Amino acid sequence: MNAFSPRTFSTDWEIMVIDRLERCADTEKLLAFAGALRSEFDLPIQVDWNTLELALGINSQFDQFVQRVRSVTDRAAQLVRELGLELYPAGSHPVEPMYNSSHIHIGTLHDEGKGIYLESRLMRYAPVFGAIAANSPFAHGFAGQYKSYRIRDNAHGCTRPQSARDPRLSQFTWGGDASPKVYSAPTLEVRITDCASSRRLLAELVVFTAAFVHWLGENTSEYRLSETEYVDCMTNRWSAAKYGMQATFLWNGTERPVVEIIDEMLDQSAASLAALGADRKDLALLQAMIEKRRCQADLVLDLGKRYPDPYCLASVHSKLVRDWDAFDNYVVSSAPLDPAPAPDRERILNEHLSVVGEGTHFYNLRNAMYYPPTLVDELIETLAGDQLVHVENTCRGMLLSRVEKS
Amino acid sequence: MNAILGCIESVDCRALEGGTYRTEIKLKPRCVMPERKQIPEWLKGQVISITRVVPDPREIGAPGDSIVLTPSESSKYLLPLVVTPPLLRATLRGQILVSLRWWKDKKPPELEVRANGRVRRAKLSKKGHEHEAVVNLEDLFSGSESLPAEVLFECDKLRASCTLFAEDAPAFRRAVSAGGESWVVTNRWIEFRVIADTNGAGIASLVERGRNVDHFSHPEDLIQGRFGLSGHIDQLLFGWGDDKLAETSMSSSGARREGGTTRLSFAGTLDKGKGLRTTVSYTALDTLPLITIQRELLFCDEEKDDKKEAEKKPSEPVDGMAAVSMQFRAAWRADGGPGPGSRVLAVENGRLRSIRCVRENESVRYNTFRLFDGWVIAEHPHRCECMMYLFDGSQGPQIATSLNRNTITLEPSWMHVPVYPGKGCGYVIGLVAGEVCGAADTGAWVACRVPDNRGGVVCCAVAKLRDLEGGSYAEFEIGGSAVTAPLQRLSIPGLGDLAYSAVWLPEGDMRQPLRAIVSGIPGRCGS
Repeated sequence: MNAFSPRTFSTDWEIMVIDRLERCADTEKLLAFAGALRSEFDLPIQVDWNTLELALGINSQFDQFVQRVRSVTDRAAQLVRELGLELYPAGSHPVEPMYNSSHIHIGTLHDEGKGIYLESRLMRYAPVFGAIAANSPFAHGFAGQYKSYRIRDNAHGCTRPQSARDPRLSQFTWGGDASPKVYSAPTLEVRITDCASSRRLLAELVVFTAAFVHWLGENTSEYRLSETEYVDCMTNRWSAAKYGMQATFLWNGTERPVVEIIDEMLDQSAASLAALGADRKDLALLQAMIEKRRCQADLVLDLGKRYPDPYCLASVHSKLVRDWDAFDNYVVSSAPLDPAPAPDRERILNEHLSVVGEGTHFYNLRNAMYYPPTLVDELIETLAGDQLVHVENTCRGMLLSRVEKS
Repeated sequence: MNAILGCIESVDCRALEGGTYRTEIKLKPRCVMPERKQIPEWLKGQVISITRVVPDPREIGAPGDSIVLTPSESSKYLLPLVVTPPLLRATLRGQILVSLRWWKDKKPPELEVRANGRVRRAKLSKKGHEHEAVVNLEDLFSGSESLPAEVLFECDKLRASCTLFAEDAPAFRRAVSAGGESWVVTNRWIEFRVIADTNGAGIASLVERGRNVDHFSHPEDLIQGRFGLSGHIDQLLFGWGDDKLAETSMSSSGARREGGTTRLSFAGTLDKGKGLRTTVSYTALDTLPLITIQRELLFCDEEKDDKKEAEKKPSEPVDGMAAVSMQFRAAWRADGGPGPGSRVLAVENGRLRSIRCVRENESVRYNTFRLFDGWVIAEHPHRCECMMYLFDGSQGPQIATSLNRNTITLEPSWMHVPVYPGKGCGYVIGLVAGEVCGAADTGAWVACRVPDNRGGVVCCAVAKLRDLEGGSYAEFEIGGSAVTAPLQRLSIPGLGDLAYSAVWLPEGDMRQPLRAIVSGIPGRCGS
């Protein structure tokens, strides 16, 4: 029996609202709009940090969801416009510190134990959803080195790389990339996804994610990740944040472009998609993204080349995405990108080395690719053994300094 | 650099070949980014225009929408009146070019020139898209007047000045531009500019005169708040981090020459009702490239309000107390390029440490790393620039540094102290900018040089040493020319004992690298 019954899905879509002085409306003001929309639509619409959080209720069919996305966003845009405001759907703001998501809720899940086994099985797929949704290449103090700074920065702790859990030995946790969230609604929540700027992409990604998780839910037997699988998950998470749809993942001992994995996942979830009233042909935007290896971050990166200043970038980006279809047109009209290679041992060592300056606390390396402690310590040993870093133990902990080769 | 945020009036869009669009945008300026300050008087009610070529015209917006101009698009509107050069040395002769880069009417306003107690009118003539006038100093000065002096240009509500200084004589003067007023202090070694309209006053530029290098230069293509990406400011953090100086404007409370120094003083109010005031003075020594900054937070008795007094609830002494942490923040461009870049050097528990942030948005703040040796250096080895901060080592501030938007900051802070009426707080810090520095467990130094009118160059090193174990000499070498000179002692209230040496190298020149060893501490990089 499937862990999910009945099969439902939804999203909590965190959307910034900006005024004509290019300021983000604050949470307190947004409460009023959330309240108005909540009454009008009888949906649990709420607020998060300087965002309207459009929680789109319980959905069971793709068309129903598409319609709901459209009607709620149209009305929300109209409502805020009355006060000179505009919706600004984006994974991050080039100036402000918020990271925004379109969390995906998959229901209906009543058994948390099964959910925790699913969480382990989903760990390798979470970066796939992260790659599709990558949409935060410019954030407060960050510019253009990652396609999702939100994932790289763990969304200030609101989407974190998972620990491997066993339902018999675990406590409740919150904020993982994808985990059961039965305490508030009987769902499994995928949190790794950046906020969508495109309504169409959001609808396609949500139904695809739900269908795939429903398919995965058909097998909820005990599942334990091997150490290699866990490390590959973290490597792939980093690749998703860095390269988006150009990423190449480490997959069952081989290297596979993420677009190839998505393609396979779409096939695997065909029956589940059908149960949600959709088939692959309905996911045309996702298909175009697969073919072009482009995600929403690529649009922002292209924009950032012309507007290096973050204030100017935020201004033009917000104008572009408020019509919802800028990305849809962008994908169709742009050329395919090349795949980025999967990180090999040398690339992984270099990535960890790149975090080392002088007097760098060793714990900074824990965040380079979010590898588990023993692996990072082994990498530090290798860097030190290769005389690439100098190690010194101090009362503040281990400090690392890069050894510059003359 | 600031930029204009405007409201779009109209967008004229024409398709070009290659799938792009040329858009001509007319807009009404609404405020100045990033602080969203009032627009200048001359832009009020005006419609200005810019042109952009874009692949999707929707990124521009439509009438009624906001638009943020780039710094270069904004420049001529925010700073329409430009004087070239803004500063002249050792002459009352020559020409000053005045450019009016934009004006709201076809006919430019009259240009009034004030100098030497005289008022002249000059005619601005059309040149391309701008108006220009050339002013001869001979028409304003006989040539026998003493320096410093000022030539002030007024054009409707726009003002800009050209400041005339002697070549090397220490001096101060107010400077004016369309962007506001500043105070410039100059001597043989340095020239620095203080802006006082925000952040409780701060140093916006610090030029090492020998090489004509501004240690606080900043990128012009980014919208940035005053001191955001460069400069020195003080911070007074109340409680968890409410910097009461951040939006405090200061007034000049005097500028004077005294006892071999030039001093600028400013005063401001943080909270009138609570009796919170602050003062700051910048003092430049004539003979050394050293600036001292003395910041005071004054907590005077609250002003009595009989009505409020009557309604007052019972209180305890702690109700009138504030927890204040003092901090200063210096920001520089981080060195780019491969290899080691900008770093911070300091001594921790008797050992020299280097901190170099390399990751975007990386910050380091160690509560247990206190600067008991009384110095910290920010070094930019690629461009051979360094700055040493000096303070009272017995009160050792905690170290903090960060890397953000290609800017490296140094933000040492002193731990919170209780402040209440009658008990304020403050600090004295010193700063020395130069081209080469040395740092060791036993101390640190910074050195710079200037051309000498006898020929050759004069080199100077300022050091903070734990003792003179390494010797009481400084060695300077330029090309094949080397000089060893004794270190002199200098005691500065608040900073303690410093050592310095200034020597003339008759054969030295500015083009060859400067190398130095001070009290046995070798230089880390040479130009």
